[in-house]
Amino acid sequence: MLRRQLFTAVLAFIIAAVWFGGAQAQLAGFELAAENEQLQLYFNENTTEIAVLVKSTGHVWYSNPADRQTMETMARGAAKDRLNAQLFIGYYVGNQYITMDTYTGSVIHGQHNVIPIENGVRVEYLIGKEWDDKAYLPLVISKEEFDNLLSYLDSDEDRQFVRDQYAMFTVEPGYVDPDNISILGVDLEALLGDYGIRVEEPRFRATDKRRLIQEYIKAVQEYKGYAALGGVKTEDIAYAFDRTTLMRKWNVMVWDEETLIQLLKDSGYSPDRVIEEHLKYNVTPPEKNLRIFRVAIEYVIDGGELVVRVPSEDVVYPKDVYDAATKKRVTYPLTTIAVLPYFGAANSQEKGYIFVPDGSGALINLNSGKQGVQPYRREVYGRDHASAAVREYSYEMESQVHLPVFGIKHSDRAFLAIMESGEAAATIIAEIAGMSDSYNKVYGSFSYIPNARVYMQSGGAVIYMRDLSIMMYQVRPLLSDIVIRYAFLDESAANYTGMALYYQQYLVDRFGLKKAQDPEVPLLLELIGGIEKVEPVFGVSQNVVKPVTTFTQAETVVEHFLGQGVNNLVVRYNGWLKGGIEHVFPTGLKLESKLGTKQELKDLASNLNAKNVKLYPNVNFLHVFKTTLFDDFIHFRDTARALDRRPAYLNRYDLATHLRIQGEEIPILSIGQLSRVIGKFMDRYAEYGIPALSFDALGRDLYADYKLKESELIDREQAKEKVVDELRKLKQNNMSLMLSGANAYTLPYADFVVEMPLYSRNFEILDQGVPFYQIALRGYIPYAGEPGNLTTRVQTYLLKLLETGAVPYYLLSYSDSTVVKASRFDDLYAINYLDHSDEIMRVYGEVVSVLGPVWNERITGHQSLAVNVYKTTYESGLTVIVNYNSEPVEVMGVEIPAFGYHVLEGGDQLGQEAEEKDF
Amino acid sequence: MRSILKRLVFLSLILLAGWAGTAAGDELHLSTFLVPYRSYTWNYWDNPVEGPIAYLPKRVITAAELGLDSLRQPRDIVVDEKNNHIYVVDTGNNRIVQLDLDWNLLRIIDGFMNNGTWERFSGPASVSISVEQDIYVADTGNSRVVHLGQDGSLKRILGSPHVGHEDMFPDTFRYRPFKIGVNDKGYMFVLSEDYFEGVITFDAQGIFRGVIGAPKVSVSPWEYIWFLLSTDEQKAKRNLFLPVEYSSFDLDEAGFLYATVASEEGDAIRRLNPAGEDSLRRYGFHRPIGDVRYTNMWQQSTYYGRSTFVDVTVFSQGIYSVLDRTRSRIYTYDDDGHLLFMFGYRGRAHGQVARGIAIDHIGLDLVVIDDERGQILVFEPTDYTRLILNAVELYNKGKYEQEEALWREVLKLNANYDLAYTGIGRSLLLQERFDEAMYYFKLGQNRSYYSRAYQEYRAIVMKERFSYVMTGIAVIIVLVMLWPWIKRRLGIQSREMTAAAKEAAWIALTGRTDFKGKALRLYHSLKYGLHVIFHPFDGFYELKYRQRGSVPAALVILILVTITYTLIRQYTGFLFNHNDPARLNILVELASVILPFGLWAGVNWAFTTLMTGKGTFKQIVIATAYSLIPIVLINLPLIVVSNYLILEEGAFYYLLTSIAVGWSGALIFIGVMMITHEYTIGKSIFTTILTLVGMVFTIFLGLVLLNLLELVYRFANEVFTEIAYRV
Repeated sequence: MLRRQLFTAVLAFIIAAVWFGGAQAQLAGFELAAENEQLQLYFNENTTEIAVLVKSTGHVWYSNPADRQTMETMARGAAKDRLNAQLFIGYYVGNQYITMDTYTGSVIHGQHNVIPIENGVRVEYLIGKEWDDKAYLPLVISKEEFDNLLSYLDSDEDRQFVRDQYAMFTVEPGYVDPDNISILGVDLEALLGDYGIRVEEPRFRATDKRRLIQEYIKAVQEYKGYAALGGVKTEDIAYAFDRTTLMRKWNVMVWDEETLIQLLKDSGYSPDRVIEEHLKYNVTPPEKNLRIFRVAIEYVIDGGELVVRVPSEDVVYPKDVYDAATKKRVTYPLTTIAVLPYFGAANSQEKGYIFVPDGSGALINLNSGKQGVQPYRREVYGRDHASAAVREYSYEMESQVHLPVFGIKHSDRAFLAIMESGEAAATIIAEIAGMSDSYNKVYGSFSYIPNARVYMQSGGAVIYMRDLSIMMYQVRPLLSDIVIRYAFLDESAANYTGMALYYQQYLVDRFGLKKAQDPEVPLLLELIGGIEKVEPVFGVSQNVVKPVTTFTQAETVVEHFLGQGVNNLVVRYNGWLKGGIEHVFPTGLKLESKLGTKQELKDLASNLNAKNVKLYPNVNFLHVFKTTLFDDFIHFRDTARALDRRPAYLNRYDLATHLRIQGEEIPILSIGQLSRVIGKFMDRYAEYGIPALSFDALGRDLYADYKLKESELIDREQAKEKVVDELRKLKQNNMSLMLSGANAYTLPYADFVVEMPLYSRNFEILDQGVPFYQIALRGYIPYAGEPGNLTTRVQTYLLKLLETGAVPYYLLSYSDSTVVKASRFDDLYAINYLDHSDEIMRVYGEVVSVLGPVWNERITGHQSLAVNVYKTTYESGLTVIVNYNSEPVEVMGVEIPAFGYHVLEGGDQLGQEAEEKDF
Repeated sequence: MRSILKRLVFLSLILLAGWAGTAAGDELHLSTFLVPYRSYTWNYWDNPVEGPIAYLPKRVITAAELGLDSLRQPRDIVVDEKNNHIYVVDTGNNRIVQLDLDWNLLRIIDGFMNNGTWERFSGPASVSISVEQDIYVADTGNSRVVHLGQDGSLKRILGSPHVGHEDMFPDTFRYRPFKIGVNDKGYMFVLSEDYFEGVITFDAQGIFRGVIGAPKVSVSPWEYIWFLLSTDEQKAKRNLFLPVEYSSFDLDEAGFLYATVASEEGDAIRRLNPAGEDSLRRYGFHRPIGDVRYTNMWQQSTYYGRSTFVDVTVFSQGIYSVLDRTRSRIYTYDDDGHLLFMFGYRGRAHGQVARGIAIDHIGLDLVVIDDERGQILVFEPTDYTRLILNAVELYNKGKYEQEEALWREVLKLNANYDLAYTGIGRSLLLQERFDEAMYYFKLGQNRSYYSRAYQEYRAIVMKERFSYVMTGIAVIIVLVMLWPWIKRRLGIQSREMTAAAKEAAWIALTGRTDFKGKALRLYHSLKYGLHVIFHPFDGFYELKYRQRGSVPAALVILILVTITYTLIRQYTGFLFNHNDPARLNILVELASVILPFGLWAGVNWAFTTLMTGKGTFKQIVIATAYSLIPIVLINLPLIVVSNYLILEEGAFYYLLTSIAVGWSGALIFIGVMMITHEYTIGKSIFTTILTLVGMVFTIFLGLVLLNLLELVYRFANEVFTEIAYRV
């Protein structure tokens, strides 16, 4: 025990010494490739590794762990060699997924190419051994070509060696061999006619000559596919006539053959020439390996950041190539490219955490001892709904990754990676040491050709057991480059708060986010207009809209809260379009007539405007719940296409069985139609004079349209661009936008983010959720989580608001909540505004009293003080400590009640002392 | 001496392990993760209805946190709240772990000193604590129950009950106690593996007192017929009467045994009194079986099959929570068997249970043992749950007014909560606010209480309007009596005709081919139906031979029957209407009238043509349709009447519906068989039975055909998709 501790201590000391003292010493084998005021980029020509040195601290970040030779104790052989790789690629052969990497697939074969570029370096890889070893060995070769070959060799000694492995013969007219050679089954006279074969090889006896000729004829026979040697015809060997030919001896020793291969491989003589010669002689040519891939990667330093780019146009994969073995044209679709999987990886001794943007953000402790659980694996911007419909509900579907970022914190330093391009095709993967190797790592894996497994089974009782599946691919690969920006954080910024604030600054610099100027804490109310209920009408069950909050009642509710003293009220109005919450396709913009007239809605808007209440009517463009005859929705044209070539749709799920409910699928709109739909909607919406809109799905759902024609296909990255275009257009028309969920690319256009995740999802590998997303937006864009009256944790809603600075948000109705009973909207089980008024005002009042003075401020610090006890520090120093435990806790001398909080003004002692706990 | 040394070594090992464990184990920040499940209740129409989360994950307790090297397949947990103790049975490690209520390790009991030798447990599966804090261990592997004092000293060892009572146990019996419970009086209850006859009991002296709760064998009549038909060999092979298998139990304050049953059918939970009789109250919408709807193995869901209860814990007030192993859900029922709420799900996420095996409670918190991961999960109730539990308690104590206030709070949090509506209604009923009570009972789908409230309400209304009602009746009587006089005064001519005149008019009508003539004929045909149902013999005769009926009239009657059934579903009074209005579909109603009708007519025609029946297909259709007239005539007024009846008067309602069906049936028999086909009574009965059997066969063949068509369709669909994908 003691020895092990001692060992650990010594090891830790050595590591520390290496890191702090001898960064330069560790960079042996590296050469400086680029430098600016803040960073130095080092490159290792032999291994194509890079290293980045942060000048201010001397910290070095490696693309591949520098201590991998000693610290890797788990992986062996090829698996260990993978630790040297900068890219992993994966492709499919039929249903089988095969991975390769830049090291074992390229660098060790010397198939890479280094090109210096401005401020950095570019490496081009050819992954997959191009030629088999034997391909370098000609079996039959003409004298001229052989001499040419010999000229590639360096020394006479080598030339002589190579020459010794071959025997020479000439097919001459009129030559008669004195030994009178005959070969069983071959009529030599008929075959050669006037010609004879002169074998000029020292120490060759008659049997050797006979064997040589026999081997040659046999090779031709095999290539031509004749049944017997006798089948070979004169024209088959015509090329050898009047020509001196060399043929590889049949009795070359194994070790000589290895030397020969090595010599020829190193000489630079191309196997292409071998093929050429073989074809002339009608001998089976060597085949080029078909499974070869080309990928390039560029490293550039930009200020204090490292920018890594994988240019999409330089990616080459075998597409529709002829496979001589099967005589078919084949494609090996390159589906995934994982970029720098080991960048900044932490070894099995380090302390710190991996940050992943799951929901609000989450931490995975380094070396947490949870090797047995599943690695973290999550698509950026959520699932692609068009890829394939999900049959069974799972809790994993509840939250998604909204931000394309990830990072690792080692003891005193951290990096944050921001995926700038191609992120819509990215999956964030995080592993701790002990899962596949001895390193804790997090990286982005990109879906270069999106694909999905499609099942062809049917649920019938008899043929149920058939479970055929087939892989379906997007018809063309990703068009945009993959770009990842690595930022390096040190000292006090080396933690998740630092990462979030760095990302905030990134958004501000890049998109010009404006500082929030809210005069007071807002209160967000979502009002429900109408809902649908199934009722019998003349004996037939029909969807009948029930008014929940009419236009005039909406004003009553608003008045009520204004009367209670709320000065900054924001109203989101949902279910005002025809059909209620799940409204008809909105191109026609029909109001739900049961809620009131057009004039009443206009009045509502102008009255609220007069009272300084912001009104955001909500509309859902992406989910096509219902269509009518004249709303210009044509199912086969306007629905996104899934990878299985059928229309894409969303499922609803049974609460108890978790299975999809058949017959209640919701088609999703093709993003290609978005511009037209929004245009039509906005034409009519202008009449209402409401300068604001709220979107249900637009900020959250991102999916492709996998049309089969390349011109019609919209991949996920393009879909992202199209959504951004639409938001930009709306913004240019001075629309104020409230977005739901809100993926990163929509943030520049959001005036309010609603339904933002306040928690992380419960993956077993995650150790703690953190409010990364909130810290990143705080002070710039107001945000709200889930409605407080329908949250799963009613008791702690207030604490969550204080901890994260989210806007109090309630989903309300004018009618009694009973209206939802026995309808599909019975999940809105507690919405009457009078039922909740007191609670809302209590929560709002507390938020105002605590956060009122710092409402527009950023969060500058956040940390966990004890289990389920968190401290948030706002810019001006105000600190809130919240306790989510159902028992009171004492933190550093302050007792915080169960489900309670404590506020510290100004400089806080508490935080200083507690700093130690946060790694 | 050696054993003491062994214990010392062991203790130090544990201490070391504990030190290592606390160093490695970090408590989870559960509050930063989503709640990984949802809560719902089952409504009257077998639909799950979402509600607020009932319990939140509070803590996950791992072996490391307890300072143990591991918890290997722990099988039981017992909370002794009075004495601040928790006992976890760490079966895989052959030990009992004793903790305090704050989850601090107190000690490990892995054996005891017996006559100077140290004996260890072998796969202990259960523990029970008596009032004196004695520890009873079901030492499964050693076929015994070990009774230890709180200090760990051996008090006695209880061996197999089989010894001395061989005749009461099967020959293959092997005593493997896996569940032990001790009540206040020192009575012991034991479940043994592979023993299905019930709960083995011992008295305080350890004397075997028999087996209680011997499950009643539940066999469906169908199974019974099969059994009778099978040969002796088959009987031996088919173990049809497999008795239920108790999986666990808990003792309530009154000494009742709440036992869970893990077998596939029957009641999943029983409440056994000392005599072994099941006294569980089952007054909810469904029996307490967990999920009402669930997937089967063909539906490709991750977990399939019905809820399998593996353990139960009883709170005060007869509220009990049951743990389902299939989906790791926890269902809580009140003492009447209403499902209060359900929560939890199976999985490996934080706050989910990978595989639940045992449940107990600390205060209102629930603790669940996850034997797959070797963890203990603690769930704490939300405010919503506390409100419900309080309200149930107040109800049991008879404090209805306070109860109502709580239910109103519950409704604010969950408008879907049926029990709250009933609770409020109950209180309103006591306050004699009957119409309001009715409104709430209706929302709560509580028909028996609604009926009570309505009875009172109806009485009041009747009393209030007694004078109007009586006056109305008097007026009607007078009018009827004076009718001839009025008629004369108003000069209305009597349209009474002689039979001959009627006949002539009808014949004249049959000759007309204009539209008005046809319409009039249809009218008269229908009107004639009223005659037919009261005078079936000559009525049907006339229908057949004098064309008094017609196919259009038959169709009209059929449509009326369909409409009647649709109206019944939609407008029958709440008390007698058990249909979900959301699922009403006139097309289904139409099919449910037309299909049997068509089948009857078709099959009957097919048989009777072979059996010298005299009726044509057309005549059969007409006669059958006319026979259905009583259904229309009785049910239509009954719909109206049903809105004014209470449950106690249901007999009247059901009698009338039965009369309608019986009358129609008799008419069909007489009309079709005896008159149309001119059969004798005996032959009529025979043919009727034959037709019914034929209908069953036709349905069977139809289903087979449908199934075949479906297969062909699926095959074609599959070929098509495959081509589409490969191209």
